[in-house]
Amino acid sequence: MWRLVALVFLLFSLPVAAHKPSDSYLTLERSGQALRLQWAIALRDLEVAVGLDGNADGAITWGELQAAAARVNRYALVHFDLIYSGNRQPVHVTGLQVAQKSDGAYAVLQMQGPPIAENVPLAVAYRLLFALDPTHRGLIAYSDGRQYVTRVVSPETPQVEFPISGTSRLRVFADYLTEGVWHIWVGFDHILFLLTLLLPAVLVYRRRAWSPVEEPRAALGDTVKTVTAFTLAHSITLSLATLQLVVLPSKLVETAIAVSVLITALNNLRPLFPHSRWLLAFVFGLIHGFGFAGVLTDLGLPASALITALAGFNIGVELGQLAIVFLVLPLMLLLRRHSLYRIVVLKGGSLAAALIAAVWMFERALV
Amino acid sequence: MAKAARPAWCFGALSAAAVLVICASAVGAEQAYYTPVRADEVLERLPRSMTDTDGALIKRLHQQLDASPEDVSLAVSLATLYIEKGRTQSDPRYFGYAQAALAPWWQAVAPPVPVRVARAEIAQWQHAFDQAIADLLAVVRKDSRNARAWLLLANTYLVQGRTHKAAAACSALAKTANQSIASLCYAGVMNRTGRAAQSYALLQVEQRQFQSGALLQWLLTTQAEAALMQGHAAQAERAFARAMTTPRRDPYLLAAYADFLLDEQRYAEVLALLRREDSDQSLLLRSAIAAKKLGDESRARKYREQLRAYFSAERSRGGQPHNREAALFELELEGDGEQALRLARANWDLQREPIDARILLRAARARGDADTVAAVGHWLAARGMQDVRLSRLLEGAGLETVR
Repeated sequence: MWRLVALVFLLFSLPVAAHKPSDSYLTLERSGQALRLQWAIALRDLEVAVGLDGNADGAITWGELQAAAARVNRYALVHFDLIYSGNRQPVHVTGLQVAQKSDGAYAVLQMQGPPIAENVPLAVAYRLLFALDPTHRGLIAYSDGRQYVTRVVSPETPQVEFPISGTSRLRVFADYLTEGVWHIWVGFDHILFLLTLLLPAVLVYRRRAWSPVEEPRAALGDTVKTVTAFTLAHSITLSLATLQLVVLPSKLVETAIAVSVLITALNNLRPLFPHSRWLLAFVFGLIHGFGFAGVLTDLGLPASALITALAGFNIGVELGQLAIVFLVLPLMLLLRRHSLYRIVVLKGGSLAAALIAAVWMFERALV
Repeated sequence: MAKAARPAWCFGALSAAAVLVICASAVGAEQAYYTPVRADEVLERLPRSMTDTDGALIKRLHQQLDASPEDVSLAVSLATLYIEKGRTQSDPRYFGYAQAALAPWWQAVAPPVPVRVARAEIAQWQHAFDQAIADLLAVVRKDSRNARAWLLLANTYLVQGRTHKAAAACSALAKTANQSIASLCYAGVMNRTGRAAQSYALLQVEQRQFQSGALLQWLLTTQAEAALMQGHAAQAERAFARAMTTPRRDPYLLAAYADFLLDEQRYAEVLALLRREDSDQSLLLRSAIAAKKLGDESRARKYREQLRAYFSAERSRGGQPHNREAALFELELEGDGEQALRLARANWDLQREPIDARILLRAARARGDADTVAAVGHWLAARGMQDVRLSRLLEGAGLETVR
């Protein structure tokens, strides 16, 4: 009877809040093609799962944890799948460390995944400790440089997927569009080329001398022709290079861009093609396209949305370029009749551009 | 010469700064993860509950259960052991282990009776009261002489403040179990229905029936509560002190005793009573309140940080901190009256013990919420509950229903 009474008694303790429940902390860090993982698992849980306390004295030492490392690693890896492209990927434990948290000590498994393509989403299937303690939870933190996501896994939802950030086409497009605008604004050599190319647009070369155009419309037409030629040309090579149909060494491209600025500047001082600067714009546009492609490659392109990204970047470059034109052209039209424009702005400006370009040329060719 | 020296100096300064930054970040990283130097460095001391004498029994049960995982009596024995450990240690891991032992039946619609009782016990501890009640009602329908189920049912109803249903469960229990157990069951109901004096007297008589430490502990805690409801501090203290002589750790007793000492403004004694109880949120909370009242700022801050860490850990695993503790935390320590009242109301929807009424009344008064004070007062009056501690909180609000 008293045995029953003792058992019955247990029911009467009222529920109170308590200790922290069992959690593990899994971190996945993607950077480029590399995947690093860290997994902090409570020593208390590992004691129950694989046994750490070798001498059964109730204290777990660093030596005991190291001695059990092989068991710990095996237990962890068996209860965890890293999945991408629908396949389970091998994960290696590269090191063992320790973390002290508010609720006790944790073993920290440093791990590494296989090299993975950047634009493939990852998934994790988690089973650690669920069979021993269904109230256990896995707290997973995922970062890939663009996003930081946390997820909780439980026996009810043991699998989580981490989508590639900005998977939406619109998002990719907007991101790359911004990059394109930004690049034309901070890319000093492109601005210099564009300005050098546009400076004579409000003038006309007659009898070995520049004189202002009468009608603004003529200047506008010239500008449209030049800018369109430049745009068309660099769009062609940007696409060819990004799709890796034509690949040029970047040193050659950078040097050629400097040469393009130099020749355009000299052409302003001593016109060789006074009436067909659009041709100059087209030929050199081809070279600048390779330059843009280099930037785009450095940014990293999402394989799944390559064309979207390319289009976004290209349109961004055009928009950035147009903004510059809209800013500069009215000023030029305003000043075109002033002799100072021809002497200081056109001659002085072109001379300065030629000098800068010459310095770049040597730097880029030699270094 | 000076010109040449300057860049060199700058370079040196820059390198030094860089080295400092790298070292600082390395130190920062070390705090998170580190590689111990000595093999004999102790990383963790396992709780005694993992290494005590039950260990061998639990191990044997596990081995037997591995051989026959569908053996109901083995599984329930193991789960029951874990549930007791979980209760006395206020450690949710043990409830997880208990759940694992019952895994074959955990999702079952109608598991065997002993499994169902154990499942209800786990649900009750996790505050899933309705789930626990559903299981227990199913059990007593099938086996009306199941004392365990009736007792647990009475207890769960009491937590919810459903005193009539609790009384009915105690009556059913009286038909199946020892009369002294049934008296203990009734005493809990009497405490909450304005018959604390009778409850105290009844328990005074029944004391002789209980030699076993654990039962006596429960009886004395209930008796102390009856004394406190009547404002008899000396009697309550005697009961608490006797209950504490039992070696079994009882978190409910500790919390009740600490609350009594807090009421008596004996803050140093609260800290002494709970000095080893920092792994239990509800007790940590009492320590934090006592430290704050004592003006021991550094200690109060330490406890408060620990509590914040517990609460945020609970949220980050997708759970919710228990509203009773969270409300008291806001009320006493964070001083966020609005939040305290919100949490106290949410807690009142789930639990309606005297302490829950106190927390809600205090939070409502602090916000000048007379409607809530009146509503709680009416609810208490409808049950005839008489508790001097609650009356004090109601009087100021101009309510005479509870004296």
